[in-house]
Amino acid sequence: MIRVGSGVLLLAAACLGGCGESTAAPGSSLRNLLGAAAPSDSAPRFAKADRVVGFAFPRDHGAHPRFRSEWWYLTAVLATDQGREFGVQFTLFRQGMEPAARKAGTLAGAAAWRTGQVYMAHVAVADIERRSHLEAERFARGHPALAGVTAAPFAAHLEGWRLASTATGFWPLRLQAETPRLAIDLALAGGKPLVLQGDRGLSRKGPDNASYYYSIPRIDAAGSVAVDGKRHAVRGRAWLDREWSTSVLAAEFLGWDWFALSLDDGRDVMLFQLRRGDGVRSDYDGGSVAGAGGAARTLAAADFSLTVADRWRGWPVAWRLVLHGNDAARYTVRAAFEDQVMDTSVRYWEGVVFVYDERGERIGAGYMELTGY
Amino acid sequence: MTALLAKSRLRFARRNPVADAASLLGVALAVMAVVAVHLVGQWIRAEVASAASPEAALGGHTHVATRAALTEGHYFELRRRWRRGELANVTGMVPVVEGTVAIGGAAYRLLGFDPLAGGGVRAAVRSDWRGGDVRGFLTDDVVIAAPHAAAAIAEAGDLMAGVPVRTVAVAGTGVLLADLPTAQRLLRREGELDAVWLRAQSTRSRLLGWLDGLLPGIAAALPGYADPVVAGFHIAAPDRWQPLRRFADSVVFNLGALALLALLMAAFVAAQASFSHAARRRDERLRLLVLGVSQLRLRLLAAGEGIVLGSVGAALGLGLGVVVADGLLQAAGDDAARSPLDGWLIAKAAVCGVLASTVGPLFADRAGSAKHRWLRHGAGGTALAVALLGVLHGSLGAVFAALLAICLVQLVYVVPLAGGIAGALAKAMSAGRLLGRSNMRAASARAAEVNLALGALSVAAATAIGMGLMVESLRSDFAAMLEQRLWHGVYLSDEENGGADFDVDWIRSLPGVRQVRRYGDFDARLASGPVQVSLAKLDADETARYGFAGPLAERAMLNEVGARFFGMKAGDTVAVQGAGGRVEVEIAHVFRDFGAVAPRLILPDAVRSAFDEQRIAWRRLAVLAALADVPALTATLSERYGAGRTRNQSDIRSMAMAVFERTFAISRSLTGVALAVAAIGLYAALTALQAGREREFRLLSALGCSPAAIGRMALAQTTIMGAVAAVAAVPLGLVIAWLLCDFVNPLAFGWSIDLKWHASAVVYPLLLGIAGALAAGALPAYRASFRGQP
Repeated sequence: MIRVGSGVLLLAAACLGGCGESTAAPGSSLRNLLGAAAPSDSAPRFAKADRVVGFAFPRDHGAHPRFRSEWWYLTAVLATDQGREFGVQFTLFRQGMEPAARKAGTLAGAAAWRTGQVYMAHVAVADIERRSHLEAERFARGHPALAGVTAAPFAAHLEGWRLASTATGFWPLRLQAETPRLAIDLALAGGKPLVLQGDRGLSRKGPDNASYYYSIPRIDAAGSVAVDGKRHAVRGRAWLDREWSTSVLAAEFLGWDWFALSLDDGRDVMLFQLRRGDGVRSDYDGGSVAGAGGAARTLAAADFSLTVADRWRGWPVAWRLVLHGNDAARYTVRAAFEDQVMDTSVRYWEGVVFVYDERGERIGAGYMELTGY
Repeated sequence: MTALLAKSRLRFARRNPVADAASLLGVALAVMAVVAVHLVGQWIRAEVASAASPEAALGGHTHVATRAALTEGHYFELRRRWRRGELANVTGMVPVVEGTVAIGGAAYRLLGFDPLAGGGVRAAVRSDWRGGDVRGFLTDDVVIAAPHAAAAIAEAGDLMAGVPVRTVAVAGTGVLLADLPTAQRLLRREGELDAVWLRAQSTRSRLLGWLDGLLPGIAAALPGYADPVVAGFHIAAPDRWQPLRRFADSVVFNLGALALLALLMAAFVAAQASFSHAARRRDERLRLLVLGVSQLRLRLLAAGEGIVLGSVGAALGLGLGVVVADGLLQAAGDDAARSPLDGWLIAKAAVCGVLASTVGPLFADRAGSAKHRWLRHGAGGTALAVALLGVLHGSLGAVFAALLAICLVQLVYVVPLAGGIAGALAKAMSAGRLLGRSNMRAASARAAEVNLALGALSVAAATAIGMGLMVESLRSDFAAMLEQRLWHGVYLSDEENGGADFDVDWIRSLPGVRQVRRYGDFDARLASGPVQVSLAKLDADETARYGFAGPLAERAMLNEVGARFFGMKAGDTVAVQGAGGRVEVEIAHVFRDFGAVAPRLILPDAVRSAFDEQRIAWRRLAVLAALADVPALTATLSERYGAGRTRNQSDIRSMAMAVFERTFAISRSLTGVALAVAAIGLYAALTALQAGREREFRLLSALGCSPAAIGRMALAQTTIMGAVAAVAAVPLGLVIAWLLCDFVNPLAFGWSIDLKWHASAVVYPLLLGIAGALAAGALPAYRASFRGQP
């Protein structure tokens, strides 16, 4: 998934904006303050995602502090027994201020504060029936008492918002997050086999830009969501994306459109397209299709096309999707409702979408992310 | 019909060009006063607040949470409670550690905080910081410092407390800023915190923020927040933690009050100008009504004219206000950049101008009607009730409301009543005299518009009297305190080397020296906040300086500011923690400490063993001598220790008084502006009054009165009116002074002031008021003398 530079861009707003659960404007870039800008000669040297590596678990569920940025991204489309639908998003972004190797032994006694990591978390609940989207944002520096990620047992947390294993292995997971207006408590288990995006997990976004990226689609989710104090028992499907990199996106791109779609026939489709300033389609657009049995196929730019079918206040909230090759089909991907804007430090659109076939039948659901609009 | 209205309007403008000009001038002058006071207040607030507490800008925190031996563990627990929603109205929190570090012999205040904790650092990030290289703030030992401090650190080999640091120079940074662990390390206080800054927001705070935008400074001394209640923590407003802000607030608050006064005066003057203008056109309106123009159309016409007049007047006033503000600040000796015009100010000027220009004519139609009388009595009665309840309630906000209410009472009741009494007296004295009766009749016929102008003048004079009495009382208390506090002798202070250079034995051997007293200083904490501690030999001579009789062997003295901040009184016991030690002492005496902005505790020398001697700065010496020996002693000590470290008692007194005078110089200027504007308002009213008497003057002239006699009659009338307004200002001025001395200052700033009678504080505003009225009446009277000629 290309939640990409979200890490860099959103965290860029974090330090200057600071906040509790903020909707502060981004203001100046954190890059000047915390050195998160494009690397210069004097900048700390982070590792780059430039070659295929073998992933090892549970280690790679945890943080990769040798890389500048990283995120844990969980989305879910859920419903009550009565059929009332909700969408849930939880994201934890990590931004390294310096490579982990450099901090060792630098500051005895202050090591807990000097992790060199800054975290940002977003949570959101989309109440589809009421067409209401609630979101919240938190920031914290890496500190055992504030925010961090551990691989085994897995836990990714930021001040009470927590995605963590509840047993000795990775599964099952539990997602908990609460704000004055929303609450999420979901048990997550199962899911399809892990999908390595791009070339065996190396997802290229440019000649010198790439990330390590894997997904776990179709996770069984059950629990509750609460909106404005009213709790609803829900169950449904979730999608976990993991990505880490140092230079994930080239400067020529204005933004991206990203889709994670679970179809009723058992297939799970991830797609992204990078939008260039000159309007020319990027060669690095890509995606994957994971079949019902779990086998995944990588999609290149030529394997699909996306065209805007409808806009709302400038956001392309409906798309015509054409898959070519073995999975050839035409779909319409439409927002469950238009206003699912994340009104956080950096504004972006992230919300529930439904997938329709050519006859207009709903055949799937998922999440869409739009940035740079 | 529209053509008729336009024709009528143009005819009036042609025949009465002065009326339109006077109305426009009234609005422009009113807006000018508002703009000038706003700009001066805004600029001073920014300067004073920034100088007093630059770190206050960090995160915009509203409260400070602290507790004894605060640790990071306490902070994380507090944060968890906040995240669970247990702390109502709290929207952010930042852990803070602070202390003093020595660089090249000089002491610098260091503030460590976690920029990601919830307050953000956006506010602290000045323009030059944004472009600067502060990479590594969270990962390395980076210190952000003002250029001079950065230079000092560089000179010390980029070392602070023996730790290598990287420095980023940022102008306007009053303290050294560092990431929390960096500061903890430099202060050798790992794991410790001093406070958790909280940001709380409530409807009241938002409202006050809005009010402060409208009247810069007005919210400075008003309780802005309902203090959040946090179990296990002591919560205080930041100015209690950073008391320098308190002094800034006192200045800013005075300016805010003046801004409010200027706004009120401006509204009166503008309304007065348009009221008089409308009154002149009463006959014209009656003719138009007879010709079939509807009342609605006439009102729309009046509103349209008011909007045009108000807009043009506001634009003129804005320009004039900027010039006047510039002049005032230059007169105050400041040539720094001025505050720019902001949206608030432009909106305020426009609303003031347009509203007064449109509302005035409406009242001109209705003045004297039964409905208007009821409205007046309703407003007056409510104001009277608010004034009484405010004083009885005694809280700062209530007293402030009472202050405004009694000004309204003055307008509605006192001035008309005084006018009535004066009228009755004049009638009795001029019984049977034609001119006296004529004056009486004219004054009563136009009572509404004249009373408004006189009321404005009266309130302005009263405020000047009240402020003057308060300032003079504070001044004499301050001078008395200096007299009591300062011994004859020479005072040596060594901020750089902590007094290490002073050779006490040599000083004792100098001719004329009677005694040498040493004072040690260190920063400490009580359970509820920080305190500056002085150690001294508290014998009877020393305690007498603070108004206490007898020696204090084991008890301490606390200043008024501290007593108020900590809610303590004589007889209470405090636990003092700092300088590597802890001691519990009883407060024996609370002393006045005007000008002190921080809580100060004076401990007896006997408890010094409870502290680490190395952490006490024995940097002050008092060298006592006979008055005659002081000059020679000063010269000798200056020669050895430098003039910068040597002060005799008269130097200190004159420096302190200079600071005092400078603080209140602009207040006086602004009061003068308010008086001048009120006088101009009165001029507009009197011009209208005399213009309306044209027919009467002709009649008097036909009956044999000379132009000179008519002129004298008109001048006598305006002078008597001005005198009545000014005299009526005296009781109000006394009440304002009483409220300021007995309520506002103690409640807002912790200083108690004994209200004293100062004739000059009363007489000058009184004379200014009468002179203003005389000046305002002179030209109308001169013109009146010619109106009578056939």
